[in-house]
Amino acid sequence: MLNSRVRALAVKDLRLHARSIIVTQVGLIAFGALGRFIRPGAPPDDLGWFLYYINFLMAGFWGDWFVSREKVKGTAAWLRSLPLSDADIVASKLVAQAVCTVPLWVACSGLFLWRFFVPGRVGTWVVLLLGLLAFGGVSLAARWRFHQKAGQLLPFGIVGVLLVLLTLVEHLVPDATTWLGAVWQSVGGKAAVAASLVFCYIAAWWATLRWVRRCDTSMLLE
Amino acid sequence: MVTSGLELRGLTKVYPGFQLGPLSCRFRPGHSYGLVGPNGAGKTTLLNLIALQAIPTGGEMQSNGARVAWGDTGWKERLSYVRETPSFYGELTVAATLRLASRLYRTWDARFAATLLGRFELPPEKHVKHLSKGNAVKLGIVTALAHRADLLILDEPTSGLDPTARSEMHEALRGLQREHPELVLLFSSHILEDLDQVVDELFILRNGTFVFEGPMRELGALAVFKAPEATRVPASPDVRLAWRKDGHAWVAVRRGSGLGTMLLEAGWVEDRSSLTLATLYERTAHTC
Repeated sequence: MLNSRVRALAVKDLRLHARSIIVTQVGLIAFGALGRFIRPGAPPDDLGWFLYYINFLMAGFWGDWFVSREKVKGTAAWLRSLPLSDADIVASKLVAQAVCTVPLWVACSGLFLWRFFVPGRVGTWVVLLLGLLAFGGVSLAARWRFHQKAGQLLPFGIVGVLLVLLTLVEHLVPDATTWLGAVWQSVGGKAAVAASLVFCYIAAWWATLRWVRRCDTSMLLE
Repeated sequence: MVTSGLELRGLTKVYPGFQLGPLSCRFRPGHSYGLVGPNGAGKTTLLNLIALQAIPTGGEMQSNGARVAWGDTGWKERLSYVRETPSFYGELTVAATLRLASRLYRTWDARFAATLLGRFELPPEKHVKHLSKGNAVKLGIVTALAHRADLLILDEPTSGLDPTARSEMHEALRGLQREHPELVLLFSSHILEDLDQVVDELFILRNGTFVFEGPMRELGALAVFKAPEATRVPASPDVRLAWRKDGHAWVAVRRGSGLGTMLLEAGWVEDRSSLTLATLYERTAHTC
């Protein structure tokens, strides 16, 4: 899948957004360092969740940026006129998004949270990384499919609905928190969550490709 | 190579409130075709269908005896599509844009790209967002041609260009036709001088259908007659074009076909002005 054309397109995206990517990545790492400096004794969970939320937001933003640019500035029309398959175009966005997301999470967790994850919580780290990728994939898919506002808000809406459902289950089902915690801690618990996130990522990819393949180029422009 | 050109067989595209086609015609190698018609006639839709930018509702395209399928990257490799306003990445330089294109076309000819860049006097280190409209169009043509396309589609590329830039464009296109004798050129334009300079076959599109197709030189061999609007237009292959405008029915018929005499006898009046592309367009445009 990662042929030379996909690589060329992904490099192009990273180059076009290089300044924003560098500013956000460096800024976030500096923010983490500042947090450690201000509250050196703070439990890793607090900083960890904060940094994860920011990573989560950024994964969604990058997904949006990479597609919005092509749709709003009309460059999707040029891409479509080149000898590229729609699979190449869609894959390049996912690759560029992953290239932004993975190093940031590696840097944040490696610099500030490694004591939290190593050695006993590597599985949690992987699941969190997959969560970032899945959310980024859903953001890309939503932005391809919908206009700006709907495309930007839908992924957050999906996460919001999931959180509401989780909260309802915790309140309405007796011992749900204990049961969910036990599932998470079981041998296959994290693997099942990881598999669900991988499925979500692949589904976002598939749905996007299916949509783009059925579109006139004019439908990809705003 | 598009050795057999391109053939449209009943190609159709339906939008709410508009239908293009069914259109059938053949674009032969080594020929240049002009596409004219009023706004909304379907010119860009037709070019989008040929360039695989829009999914046809019906019909098909064939090249070299094979059907051109939606999303066929091999077909896209063989054609180039230059829109009225090429959409490049403004943050990239001209050179970076060409480098990107070179990684995406298998048949990219870097030497030819450099030659075209020089011919069009495009500054390689200038950012695309700082190029004038004319230079952006020229960059579009360079990227379109440097992969040695067999079919070049130009959708009103000269609108907004000054006369000098248009003249350079004409010269460049004529040069390309000389260098690449198998090139099929499809040129849509409202600027009739462009068509006069570049094309040798003409298609007039109105309301989604071809109302005239033939060599440009045929225009000079047509005589125009008019009659009151309610007059029935005779059904004859020698009637090359018929339209209604300004309270009259108009027909353009082949000179010397005998039909002219019949029309005069039936009360039609010959229009004395010579039929050029400009007069034809002026008379038929906006008559839908």
